[in-house]
This record gives sequence, C-alpha cells and structure tokens, in this order.
Amino acid sequence: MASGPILEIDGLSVGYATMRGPMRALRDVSMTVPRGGMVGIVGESGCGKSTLMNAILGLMPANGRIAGGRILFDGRDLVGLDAATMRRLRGDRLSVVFQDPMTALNPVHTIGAQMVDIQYRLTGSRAAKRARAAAMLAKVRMPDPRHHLDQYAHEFSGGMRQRICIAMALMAEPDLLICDEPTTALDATLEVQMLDLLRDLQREIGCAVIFISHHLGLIAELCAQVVVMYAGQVVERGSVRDIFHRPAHPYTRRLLDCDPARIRERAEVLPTIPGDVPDLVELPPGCIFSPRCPVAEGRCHTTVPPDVAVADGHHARCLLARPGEGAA
Amino acid sequence: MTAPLLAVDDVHVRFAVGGWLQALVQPGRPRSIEAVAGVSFAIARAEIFALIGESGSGKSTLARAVNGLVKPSAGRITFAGRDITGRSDAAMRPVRQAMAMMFQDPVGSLSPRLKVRSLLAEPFRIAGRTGRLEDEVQRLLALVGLPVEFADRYPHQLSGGQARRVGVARALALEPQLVIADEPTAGLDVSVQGEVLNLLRDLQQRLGISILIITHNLSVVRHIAERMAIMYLGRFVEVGETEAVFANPRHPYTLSLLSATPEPDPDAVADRIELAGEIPSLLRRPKGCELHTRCPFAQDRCAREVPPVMADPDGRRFTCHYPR
Repeated sequence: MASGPILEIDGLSVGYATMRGPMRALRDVSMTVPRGGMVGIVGESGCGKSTLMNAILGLMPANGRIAGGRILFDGRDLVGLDAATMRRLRGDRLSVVFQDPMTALNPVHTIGAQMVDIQYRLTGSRAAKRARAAAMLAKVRMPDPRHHLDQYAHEFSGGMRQRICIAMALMAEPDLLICDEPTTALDATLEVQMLDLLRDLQREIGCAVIFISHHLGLIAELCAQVVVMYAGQVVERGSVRDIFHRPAHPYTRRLLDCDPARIRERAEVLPTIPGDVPDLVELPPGCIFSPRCPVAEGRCHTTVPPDVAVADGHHARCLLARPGEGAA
Repeated sequence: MTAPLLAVDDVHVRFAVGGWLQALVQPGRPRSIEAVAGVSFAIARAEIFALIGESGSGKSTLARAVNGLVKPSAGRITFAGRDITGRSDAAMRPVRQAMAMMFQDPVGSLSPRLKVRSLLAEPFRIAGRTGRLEDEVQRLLALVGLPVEFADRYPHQLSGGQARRVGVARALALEPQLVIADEPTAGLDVSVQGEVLNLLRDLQQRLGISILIITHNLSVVRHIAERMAIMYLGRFVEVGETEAVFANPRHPYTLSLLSATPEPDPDAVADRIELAGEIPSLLRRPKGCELHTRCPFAQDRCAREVPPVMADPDGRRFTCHYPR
C-alpha cells in the first residue's frame, strides 16, 4: 500500500455540456503527487484548475462529465466511484482548504460545534472530540484554543478564520490536502505567516499537498513540483527548479516574464501576453497556445503537440521543446 | 515650484461606532474610530502617487475623503487651487468632473443591464450633455485600445482586463485632471495586469493627468508610481520616492511589506522580516509607536513614546524611533 504516488492522474479529460455544445474543459491531463510531497498548480483564470480539483474530489457539477482517463488515489481509480464511497474518502483521506475563509465557515454555529460535528465518523465522547478540536487549533498556532471553541466565525479576522479552516481540513489526518488559493484573500504579511504555517504543518503531519495558486512567488517558495496549466491542458510540469530556471514551454516563460515581482529594474513598459484564452467549445487547431505564442511556427497551428520529456521528470507540451534543454 | 494639483493637509476621518445602548453597556468603549488620523500629502500635475496599505489601513477611506464621498472631521483638501473640504454633493459635482474615480471591482462597478455604449455615454449625460454621443464613445474606446464593436457588448461579455479598460474609459470621459484608481489590478491575471498598468501610464504621459493609485500590491507600485506612501492604522508611516523606498526602506513596516513578497525563484534566500500577529483594532490603538505590538525591532521606548516624523535629505519622511 505504502508505495507509489498518493495521486496519479493519467490522461484525464473533462467536458461540460453547454448550450453552444460540449466545452472541453480538461484535455488529456496527467500529473503525479508523491506521498508527502507538495505540488503546485499554476495557471490563470480559465485554465481548468478548479475543474481539476472538482474532478479529484468527485464534486463535478451536473453538466460536467469525465470523458476519459484515470484518477488513481492510493492506487484506486476514483473515476466512476459511487457517491457513498466518494463521500467516505472526502474528509477522511482527501481534504480541502478553500479560497475564501469568510464563507467557508457556518456563521450560526460556534467553531467548537463545527469542529466536533465533522468528527462524526469517530467514536468517543463529545468531550474527547472537543479536546481534539482544541489540540488542532493549537497546532495551527491559535493562542488560547479552548476559549476560541465557543466563539462564532464573525468574531475572527480573515487570517484566523483561514487557520480554523486549515485546522478543520487536517482534523481527519488526510493523505492528501488540496489548498485552493488559500492565501489570496489575505494581506501580504498574513500570507507569509500562512506560508510558514502550511510548510510546518505539512512536515509535522506528513500529508501530501496540492497547492493551487496564481502567485508564482508562493509556489516557488513552497512546492517541490510544479504543474503549469493553460486552457485545460498541462503545458509543462517538472521540479520547481526546472520550471523557474529552465522553463521549456513558451507560455511558462511568458508567465514568468509578466510577474512584476521578477522585474527588479523599474520597467517603462511591463510585459504582457497579448490575446485571450481560447474558446474551449471551438478549440483552435494545433497547439492551444499557438494563437498567442510569440515563437509559433507554421506547424504549431496545425499539429497538436505531444507531451515531451525534455529532461528526467520535466515534461512540456510544445513542438519546439527539445530534450536536454528549453526551447526557443 | 508650481502649486500641486491636489494637496491634503492633516486630514482626519472619524466614524461613529455603536449606539447609545452600547454606550450604556460598555461605558469605557470609544464612541468613534479614526479611520484616517492626520494625513498630509500632495500630488503634482502629471504625477502618479501610490497609497499602500493592508486591509483596514484607511487607504480607501482616504481616497473617498479626497473625492468627497466621506466628509473629513478635520483637515483641509485643496484641488486645483480651490478648497474643497466638506463641500456638499451639489458643490462637489463640478469637481468630480475633474477628479474621476475608478472603483475596485471592474465588473461589479458596471451595470449589467447596460451596453458598453451606454456605460461610456453615462458620464456625459450626468454632466448635462445631451444628443448623440456616438463620437465620444468611439473616441473613448480608441483611447483605451478596445475595438469599436465592443460598444454593443454587455459587461458579462467582457474579460476582466476588458472590463477594466471600460472602467478606465469611463473615468477619462470628462477629461479629468486627476484619476483615483482603487486597486486597479485586483483580481486580474498576471498577464493582464501589465496591460492595465501600461495603459494607465500611457494615458498619464499622453494626457498629462495625475493618478492616485490605491493598492496593497507592492510589485505593481514599483513600476508605475513616482512617489509612494505606506499607511498603517490610518497614518503614514513612510512617504518618499518609489525607487528610494524600494532601495532603502527606513520604517520596519515598509521593510516587512517589501520582504513579504515571495520571489518567484526557488533559490532566493527568504530573509524575511515577519510581523507578529495581526493589525490591531482601531478601537484600541496601541500606545507609543502603533507598530510596537508587532515590530521585531521594538524596544521599551517604542511602547511609551510616539515617534516623531523624521526626514531624510532626499525628502523621505518616516515615523520611527529606530529606523533601518
């Protein structure tokens, strides 16, 4: 059991039925999360980050359908699992921290009541469950946890609420924690505190983490592996150094160029990626990035690029990417 | 030196909190908070000035006070040579033509029922212009780099960056001298963020307008603002030339904000100045230096004495007993 990656996604495709026809939200997505590893998913709006997360959690909306591929969680395919089994996995072995700590907590129950309720699968007295809840709050560095159990969500600041959400997600000691933009709603100084907390907790508890973010700096600092998504595809994946020091896909390179935090000199004109994310109902032929790619050649507009290994563990979906080094 | 376009002089903004019932139950509790507590700055013509602060620092309240949306409880605001402090809404109307506001949420600040054409014609109608405004609409679309066909779109048919452009176009409709941009890049993707900033700077250079940018995002400020001010609990802790502040921050709060931006480089050494805890409540302002409860460099004196405003030869001002 305890061998192989905790999560292996293989050729996953997801579609949504829309009035204009099927929308191909994810196409042939493959990625791996090692046991106890921390993997970052970067991408801009509309790249499919949320769809991927919902597919893993089995929380697809009614018009969504997994069209192909496998999601192997601890060796077991989650695609096609019945609702009851999936429900059992969620919360128990798979857990999530959502983006907005303001709406993730129930406003009419105390924090303590919510933290006891989510332990419904465990046996033991209410007092024992309350003690566990308090211990978990202490783990996320909340001072005076017993007192906080009797408070309501509105009595906490955004940073404190996100700590509570993290504590709740970790209560069941999951094997995989998915963090969906967990710091986006927080101020910079709190973001840094949260970064340190997540890193410490991950070391302590040893669960694997998928960290979804558009913030390149956070990913660089926190994650060992990085997956770059664009318009429903994984365009590049590799170690954090591969992605940040030797990006092989033109999109990754452009994205890094655009981050103002990377530009040390005061720039007269800031770099951008001209154009828009393509329509996923009527896909352009060829490479999905070719309409916006500055180095695209004729064949890029006609041939869908395969997933190429440019180095050991470093993959890119680009016709111009060559093994051994980054492309043009 | 010519007179600045906007001068803000020791402005305070007070909000009442709680009613008489709360005053009965908790007699010791303050009846009001000072969201802005004595702020002074000036913006020259064709200058971009940035206000930096975290949630609750009072930066948006200050901007609203400048625009007359909230009335200052003390201090003076001068715009284009006229005192506009505490003017009535009717008296503010002509001023607001010269001082346009760009609100935070790009899509939310556009009415979902109006086409871009009507949205762009609206400022003219409010200012009393009637008749055909099609020429103006086309001029504005061209100004912000949107194709003419966009006049027939509804806000939900725009991407975040396009909605932002429409917001910029609306702000520029009446040819203002000052644009107040509240979080102009919030919620935008990195690849689009630069587009909006480039547009703002281009307009500043081409039209000679001044811009007051309000943001929590430091990396945005670095490339666009000439000068910047950092706010904490309704006061400026540091003001100066952007380049100089980035190169050599004097106040520990500025330092911590600068170091709180993780670098997109896995091998960067994170030599971070971390602040303890969270921003205190305005109901209980700390004594002495207001940062001392969180500051890693605080000494005994910081808890007792309010630090004076210090000035560097280059014009930088900051309030700290032990500047870096």
